[in-house]
Amino acid sequence: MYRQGSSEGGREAHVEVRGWRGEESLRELFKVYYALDPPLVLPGDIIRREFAFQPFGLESYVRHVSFKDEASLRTYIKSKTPKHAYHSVAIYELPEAPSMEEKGWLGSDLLFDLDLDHPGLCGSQVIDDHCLVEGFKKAQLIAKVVTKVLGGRASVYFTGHRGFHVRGKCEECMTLGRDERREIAKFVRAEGLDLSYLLPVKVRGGVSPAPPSPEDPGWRGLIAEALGSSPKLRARDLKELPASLGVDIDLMVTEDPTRLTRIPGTLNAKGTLMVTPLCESFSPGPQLSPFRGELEARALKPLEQTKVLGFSIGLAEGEELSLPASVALYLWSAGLIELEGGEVVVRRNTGWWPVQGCNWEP
Amino acid sequence: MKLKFRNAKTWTYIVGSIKEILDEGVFIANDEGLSLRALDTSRVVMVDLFYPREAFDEFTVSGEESFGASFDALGKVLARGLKDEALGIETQGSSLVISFEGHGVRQFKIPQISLTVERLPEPKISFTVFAKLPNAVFIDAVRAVEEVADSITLSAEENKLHFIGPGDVEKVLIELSVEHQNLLDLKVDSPDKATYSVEYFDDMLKAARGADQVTLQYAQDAPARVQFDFEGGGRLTFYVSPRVE
Repeated sequence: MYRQGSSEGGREAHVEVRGWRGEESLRELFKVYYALDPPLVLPGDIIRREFAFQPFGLESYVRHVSFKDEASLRTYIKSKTPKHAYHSVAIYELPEAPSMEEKGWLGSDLLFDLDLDHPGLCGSQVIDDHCLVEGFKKAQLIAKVVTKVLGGRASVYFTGHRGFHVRGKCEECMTLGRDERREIAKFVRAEGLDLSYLLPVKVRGGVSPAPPSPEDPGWRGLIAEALGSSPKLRARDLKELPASLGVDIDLMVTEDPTRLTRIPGTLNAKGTLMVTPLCESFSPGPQLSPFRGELEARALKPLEQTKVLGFSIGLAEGEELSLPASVALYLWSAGLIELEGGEVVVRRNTGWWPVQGCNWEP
Repeated sequence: MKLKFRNAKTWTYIVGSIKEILDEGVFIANDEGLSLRALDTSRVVMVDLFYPREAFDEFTVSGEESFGASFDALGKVLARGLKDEALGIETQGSSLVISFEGHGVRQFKIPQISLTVERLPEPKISFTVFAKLPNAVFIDAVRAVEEVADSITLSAEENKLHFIGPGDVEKVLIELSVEHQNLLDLKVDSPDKATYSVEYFDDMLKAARGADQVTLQYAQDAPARVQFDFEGGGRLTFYVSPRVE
């Protein structure tokens, strides 16, 4: 099925796909990707982290794996070709120990999981570029909570399918327990936020309360930033605000200090895209996928004209078409098309972070 | 649009490097000169080329004109250029005519590619380390690192700049300083360190071979800015994003 050759000294590999055999074929493409030794963003304390993998063809996870360094992790990924790859947000005394008691928990980063598939966020059958950009704005708001409210450092990652992971690092947060983490999650979700206390509106004959300013602590500051410099607020705005303010993150993820997070640079089989580090701006495009080249496809379902990975597309049921491999694989993973075959160029993303759209000021 | 440049080889070096990073791109010619700014498909390298109009023997442009080209096609043609030949670039309908004059005339016609111009701002970076080095030193250092590692770490002290190849088994450390005359200039605001993929530095070597000198700037875990100066005031700059945890 595959004829493989490489060019450019290991930066890319050509794979001829003759007949698509679903997950089995996807696994072959993943294998070629990992063989190129793509860059991964790994924690500095790799030896203290628990790693976990889901193999192709299995519903279960291989957990409690630990590595002494990046090289041994790479060897593992190359030989196993995981469908999904994770490491713990926690650091442990013995990360490979099978139970929490034996692991010896030392602390955990904060993790926020934003899934765009929740009702109300994205309308169409597929997470399109517009939806991703809207989601990214929400992820940035979470990052702001980490930096402004908690005084930590935040990293935003596209998960490679339909959401974002925001990781927060702050010294004081490391040893927070379940309850405290839950409170932080509720804060991000703006749960129980009563804006009438936070932003009093002008009362008749009374004095005008000060408008919120970006320097204000908590939600007042975040609202001021979101609404612009001197927002004039009316009572009915306040009724509508809370729904749009909070970010609908998964409470269970943030409150659990033993959660796993995806390894940036690995692939997510659910969307066939890379777990990608992001900076201050985000324009979805083929850079989210390591796959180039073209694949022949047939539409299984209709799709209204939209933009996916920077590519404008609409589908009519039964339509046969040739698509960029990145788009084809993404739409296949969403169940919208079936694939015939073609030529896929698997690229190693040789950098680690987007050079543009990042504020590199120290 | 019609441009003439006295040394075709300069462009062989410039495009030879760019084609390793970009598949295609849009050149813009206006009053100031010829320029191109683009990101590679993974958005980790920005290529920024500027050649002032004064450097050209002929520079005929009406207002602002742009042309898109495949760097593979352009690179193949420009590789035919010789040192004592002049280079001509002319747009003709939907084609690009590249000519070499010196040993008779050779003319190549390649198709223009219609691309939308993405006006990219320069990355916002406060650099803390600034070094100027002869191109031969830069080439040797990158080659040495490449032998043992796939990443390159730049590390600066007050009077020294290090190129480090942190391989799994083998390691290499190259020490450069003004004192030992392998640096032309070094300014270190803070003794910073950053790591990059060595492949992109390798892609730059072709440009380095045709350049007069190399200017290297970076900061702690921030992108590197590598600028090559060419005859007549041309400059080719690469911004390479770092590996950060």
